[in-house]
Amino acid sequence: MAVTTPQSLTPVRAPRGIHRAWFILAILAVAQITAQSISMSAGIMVAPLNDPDGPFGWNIGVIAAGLATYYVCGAVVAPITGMLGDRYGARPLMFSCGLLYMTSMILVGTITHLWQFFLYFGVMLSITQSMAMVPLLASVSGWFKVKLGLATGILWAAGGIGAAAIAPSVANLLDAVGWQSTFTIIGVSGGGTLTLLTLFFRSKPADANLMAFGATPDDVPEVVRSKEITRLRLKVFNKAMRKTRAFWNLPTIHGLGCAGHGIILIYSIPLAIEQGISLSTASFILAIISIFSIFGRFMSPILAEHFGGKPIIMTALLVQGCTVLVLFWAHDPWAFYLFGALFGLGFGGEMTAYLVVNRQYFGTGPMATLYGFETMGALTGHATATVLGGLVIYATGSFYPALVMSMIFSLSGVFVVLSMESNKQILIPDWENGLPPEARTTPRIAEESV
Amino acid sequence: MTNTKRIPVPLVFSLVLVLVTVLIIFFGAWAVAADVDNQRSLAFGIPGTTATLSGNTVNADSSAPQSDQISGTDNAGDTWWGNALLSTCPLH
Repeated sequence: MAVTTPQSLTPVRAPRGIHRAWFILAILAVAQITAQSISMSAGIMVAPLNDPDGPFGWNIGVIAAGLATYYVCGAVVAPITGMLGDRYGARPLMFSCGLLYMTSMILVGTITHLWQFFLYFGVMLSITQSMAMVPLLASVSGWFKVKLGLATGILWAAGGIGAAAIAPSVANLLDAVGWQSTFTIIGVSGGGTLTLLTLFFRSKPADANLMAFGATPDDVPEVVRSKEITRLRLKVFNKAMRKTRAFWNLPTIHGLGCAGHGIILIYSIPLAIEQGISLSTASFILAIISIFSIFGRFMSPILAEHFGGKPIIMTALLVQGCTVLVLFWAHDPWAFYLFGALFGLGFGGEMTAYLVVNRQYFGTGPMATLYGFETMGALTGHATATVLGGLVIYATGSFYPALVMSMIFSLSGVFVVLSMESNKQILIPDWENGLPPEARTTPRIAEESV
Repeated sequence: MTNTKRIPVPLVFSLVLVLVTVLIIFFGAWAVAADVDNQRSLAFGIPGTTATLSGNTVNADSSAPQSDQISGTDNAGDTWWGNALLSTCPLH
């Protein structure tokens, strides 16, 4: 067994008083926006693919199958990319993500056959997005010993703002330069930026000879470990996590939450149109949801850090579930807009506190694998919302049963949160007991959650 | 460490998984059964399209029956997945 190598980590703060963690955060924000552009492209590319007078003219069922492949592949791959992030660090994955993003987007621009759409978009881009969303996002946890909630909130808010800005940009590009040039431009600019930023990115503070933001000289010094020891620690840590209810319940909650808001995001516009509202007016509902969700995205992890993750996720799910009631009586645009504002707060808050909750439950261990499973739950929830919501509306001939189902999903999430362990203490403080002495951290990790 | 020993089986996780599967089978079979008349259709909520109860989508060719656009067949009951849903669900 290789011996653990302690690093001499001197500077707690980088020169000029700004800790490197904030630069890393800025890089991760760019990665987050780039990843969001994939799902934004999905929404925009449907119309040209479906256009009977265009070069594709594919039917809606085939495009649906391609998008379902995207969700399912993303769900399957998320835990794997998370595990790779824990094992090899986020930096090599960021580099691979940049190259794969560039290649996939350029290839999407060359699509002429159906199998290419399934491969380039359904498989390659879902792997790319999984790389950007799981190990890269989870790596922020290692850089911030304190203010993780603020850092996570900034990342998610940046993603939300970026997504809102990217959608019209891609649409304008499609109009201006056509299909192939649009995706070539997106691929080269997005992928090139990610690849370039890899030069300045580090997976963890020890790689830059630093300590995490907020760490003090009294904290356990971070060490660079051999691959064998890293692998062993990861195995033992994951084994300990799997024995807790939280490990299984957190992805379940994320899945239920995403199924709950997924149905609304998909079917609120059709419902408004059924009520006699025009498409252009109804489109503002999603815009309002997106805008208010930015506030929820930003505040939820910050509040979770101060008040504990359980009550915050529970509140977000309650808001998300209960505000759906407004839609049962909504007939006028203002009622839909009111719904959008209230729902957006809950919807945004539901999905962003998990990194903070993970730390509260499991300490500062390798967390990307767990986050991968949570992302798997989220994508499965979205896939379920897409399929089940459609089936319910089709079978019953009404939108309202689907709304009821959305509420049931969200409120079930509340009950699952209630069934979880308290997050006032780390659930697996003794997980290192399963390690040989040379692989352990000394002294013992803190028993109190951060 | 009490939590790590008490719950070897992820009960809530399994329960949610089973319930969602049951719901998909139930509503899937119901949808296939309702497809007989080809009166209604949906776009499975694909971004960029709008599922409406009248069977028209924003971006789809409204002159063609939407069920044809979705499945490429006249009746979901004739497809392998339609048959599978109907035979799996004891209530349809």
